Amino acid sequence: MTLAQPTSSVILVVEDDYLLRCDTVQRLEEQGFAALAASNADEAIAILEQRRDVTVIFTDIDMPGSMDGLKLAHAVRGRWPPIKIIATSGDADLRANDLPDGGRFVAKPYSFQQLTSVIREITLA
Amino acid sequence: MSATAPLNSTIESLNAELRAADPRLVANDDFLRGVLAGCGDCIEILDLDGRLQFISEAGKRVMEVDDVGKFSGHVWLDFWSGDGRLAAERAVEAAKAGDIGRFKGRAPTAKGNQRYWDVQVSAIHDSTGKPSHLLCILRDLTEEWRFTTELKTAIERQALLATELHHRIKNTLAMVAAIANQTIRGDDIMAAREAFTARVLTLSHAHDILTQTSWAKAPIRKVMDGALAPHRSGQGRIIASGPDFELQPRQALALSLAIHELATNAAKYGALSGEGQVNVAWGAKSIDDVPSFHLTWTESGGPPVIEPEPQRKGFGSRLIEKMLANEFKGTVRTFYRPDGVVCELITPLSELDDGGTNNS
Repeated sequence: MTLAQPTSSVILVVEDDYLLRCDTVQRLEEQGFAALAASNADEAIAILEQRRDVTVIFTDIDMPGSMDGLKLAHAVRGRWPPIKIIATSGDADLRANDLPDGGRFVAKPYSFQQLTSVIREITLA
Repeated sequence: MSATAPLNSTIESLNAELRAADPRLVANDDFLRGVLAGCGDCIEILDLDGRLQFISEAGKRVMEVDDVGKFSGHVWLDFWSGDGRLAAERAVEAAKAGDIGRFKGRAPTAKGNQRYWDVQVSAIHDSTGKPSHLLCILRDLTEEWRFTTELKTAIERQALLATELHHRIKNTLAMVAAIANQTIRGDDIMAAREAFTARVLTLSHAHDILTQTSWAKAPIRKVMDGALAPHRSGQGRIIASGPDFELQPRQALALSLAIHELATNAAKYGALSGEGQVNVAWGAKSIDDVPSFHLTWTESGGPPVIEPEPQRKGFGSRLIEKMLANEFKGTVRTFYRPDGVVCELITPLSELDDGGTNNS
């Protein structure tokens, strides 16, 4: 099943858990998005430095490494302001407030309907 | 507030009450001694310079004083240190001013054991109404204080564990959702259901092992036994051996799922579908001068092996090859040898100890 999407939507999925990362990338591709994968913030930054076509970054917040997802979100906002930010975590309590302005939060586990509708909203806005 | 004015009336009314009870109690030293001895608190008398003059029998007991001579004349404030010292100074000042000074603080006994005290300091007045001594009453609150402190710690720990557990459950549910997404595909719903349930049960067994160590580490032997148990037929056709290693939680989950997939494939198409055997061996060895961990799954004696077409490799193969390699930060290779499938994991030994990069 492939839905028509603006071909300009390239989504970078940042998730340290292999299963979730691959599943998310695959499901997004099935929905007609172009998706890239990074397993931590450093990899994500390296990809963004290489590619100019990423429109949305979808990042897990709880990640090991030099930066967690929140720090990554702020770094991305600082260096690549046009990139839209969606974050996810099993901790539903806070965190939308800690995101950069306009950043969106999707609680884990998320449905793909939920995720894709947030992607559509922020990319069309 | 000064206690001087109502003092005489207090003494008079006390005497009146005692006289009413029994006239022999009035101005009676034995009565005073009895009260001092019977009171379980530590009663101390200081002179106006704050030097210890007297300590009651119960006081010697709770203060663990064997030789009262050693403490006689000791500056009472010196028993206190830190915040307690400040509070004690304030209490003494209050008592001298005619108030009752109260505080709670820690001070060691004569034998150096820390105790937590509820302290009250007041002045004793002479017949002219002038302060002549200071009276300190110390109640040992150590048990209550210890209990309260432990309770506080336990409550904080409880809250932390609840948060962690919540987080873990959410992550696990996300994993289960991903497994469902990846497993429930194609037209054969019955087969998909079976495969899904078996994968979730494998995850569940791995959780059992991790729960025993509070998600710190998992002994590889237990992980292996847990993942292989549903596939054993009781005929000893699967042999698993290797030294003890501790795995990171996510390595344990990945290895469980991979071993389950390998065993499932072996039962469907490989050595366990016929008369063959599986040998799983792991250990440490130096590979290209790097101390490494290796694990090898070797099938033998089964039907002839045909390598599946790449497009027919499904989620199970990804669990074996990609997830395992990813969580161990190593390489996984599968060889479709004519006499049986061989799957090999190699990773630097340091990846097994690396607690900092594999949590959450």
